[in-house]
Amino acid sequence: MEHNSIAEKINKYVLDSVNIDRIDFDMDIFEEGLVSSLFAIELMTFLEKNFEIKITTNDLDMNNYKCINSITEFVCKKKAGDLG
Amino acid sequence: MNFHEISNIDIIYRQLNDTVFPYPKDKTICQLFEAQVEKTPDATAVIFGEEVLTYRELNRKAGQLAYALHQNGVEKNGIIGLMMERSLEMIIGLYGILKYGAAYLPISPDYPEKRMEYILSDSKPGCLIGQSKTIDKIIGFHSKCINLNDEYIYELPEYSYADYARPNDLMYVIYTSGSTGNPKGVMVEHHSVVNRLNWMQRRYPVTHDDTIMQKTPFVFDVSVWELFWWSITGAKLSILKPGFEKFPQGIIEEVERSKITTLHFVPSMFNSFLNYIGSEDYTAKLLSLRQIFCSGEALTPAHVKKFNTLLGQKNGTRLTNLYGPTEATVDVTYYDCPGSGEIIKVPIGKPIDNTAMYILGESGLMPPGEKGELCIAGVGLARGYLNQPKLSDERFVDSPVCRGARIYRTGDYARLLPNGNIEYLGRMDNQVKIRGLRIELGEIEARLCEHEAVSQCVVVLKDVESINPVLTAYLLTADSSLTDKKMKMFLRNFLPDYMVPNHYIIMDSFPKTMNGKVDRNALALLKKSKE
Repeated sequence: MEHNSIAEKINKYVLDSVNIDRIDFDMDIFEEGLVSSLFAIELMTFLEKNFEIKITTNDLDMNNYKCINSITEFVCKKKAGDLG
Repeated sequence: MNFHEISNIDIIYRQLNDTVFPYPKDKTICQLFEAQVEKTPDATAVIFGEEVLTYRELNRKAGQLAYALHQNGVEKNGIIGLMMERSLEMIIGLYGILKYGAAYLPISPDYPEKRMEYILSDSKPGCLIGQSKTIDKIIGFHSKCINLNDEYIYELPEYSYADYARPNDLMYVIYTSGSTGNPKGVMVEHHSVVNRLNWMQRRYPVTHDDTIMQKTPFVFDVSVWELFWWSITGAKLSILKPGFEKFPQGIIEEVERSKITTLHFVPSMFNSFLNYIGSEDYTAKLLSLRQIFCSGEALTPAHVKKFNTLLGQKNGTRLTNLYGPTEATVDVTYYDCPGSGEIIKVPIGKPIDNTAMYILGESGLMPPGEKGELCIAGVGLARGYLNQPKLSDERFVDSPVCRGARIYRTGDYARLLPNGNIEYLGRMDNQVKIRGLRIELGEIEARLCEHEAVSQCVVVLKDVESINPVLTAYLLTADSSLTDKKMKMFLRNFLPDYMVPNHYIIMDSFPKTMNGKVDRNALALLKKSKE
């Protein structure tokens, strides 16, 4: 799956979860108060299931999940095996 | 109501509250711990990552801290502040304070300075204890500070002053949100904790084969059973790495590694945890889990059903719902959730040992099925709020049911079900919970109103049922340039992060109810204006 379609899938998931129409891919969804820390878990559950990756305790850095762009980067790296 | 009905109600409450059971009321938690050290000195006591302490080692280090406190001339029987992340030092600090015969005051390293300042000026601790990571945050606040990472402490002689503390002395002071703008310190005595833990051990016994996970931040009173139950029973404690309590991966890894048998969840986190383990089937990693306790907010039938499918029926884990305010020592009622079948309601259950529950309305005790204020009597009642006699007298009142007894008015609505269980029905006031954390909306509003540009404000919690409940502040102000960012920065000086509203909406006026008060419900239903 290429970068753009991963980003689009994540974007759709986030939009559906927070019930808004549009979001800037660089916007910090936690800092802006769009979502809570519990959402991070739901997001991880979604990522593991849909992109066939395993999120381990080494991946629990919130910077990985703060915006659509960083989540996409994280998923791409995981899929490429860069993060072990 | 005729005489016959009244006496029937009396009988119903007498049955519900038939909870008298002996407990070691002449002992403190510290004395019970020291007795356990005598019995099993070389057993594993505490695990933190690769570090382990036996009962003897923990007792020695705690005794060395007690001696250091003595050397520093700290008042015995007083309050001692502790600012720690989860670590071995946190445990040494807690037990050391108890071995000194003092009460502990937990302070979060995440508190803003002003909140900490208030708590310290209110409680006047005789000393502050920190670790290398936190010592810089406390050193300016007190003339007596001890860093538990300083090696000299562990070369001191060990000593116990545990017998200086009596069962009705304070064991801890925990601050909780206060509706008038400042947090309030709840004072809890040793014998209340002894009764609470003695009940838990009777009902859900743990032995040297058990390991309890410590994951609740120690500023919340749920942590009390995690922190002390194991140590008076010979079981083990495994301390979860700081930050890992927010992630299922961290919890699963620790359960598997330390063979955790006993674990606590706030229901909202429990739900996310269950969703996570269900998606990839992580249940096999959680085989050691025998019992899970939930408390802090309402446990729903959906949570229990999910649990039964994923953990209950596969691993044989049991689930118990607990209820209680900080003012009555952690928990006062319990309900063992059924492991199968249709689940329509999850009540908060029946009172624990030496505890009575009353549902009171204007006319007195409410009959089964009728809603009233849930009130608590018994040995778990806190002494009151520190330095707040007026507030204490409002919430801790003479029992209208039993002469000479005291009851705590929870501010929770409840009713008695026909099967004798109590059902929780929500709050009577503006207290809300986010992920189990208790928040008085009035505390946030009082702070907001201190901002020079804010003339009036109302804070509401929106989307309460979702995984993203959001605090929203509605403001009346002449300054249209107030931004979310500015307001958040202002509030972060006073309030912990979880109490800072996510959104700030400037209004021309507030919707009013029929009798002229601000209509909070109407505000809660307003659409987000951000889109």
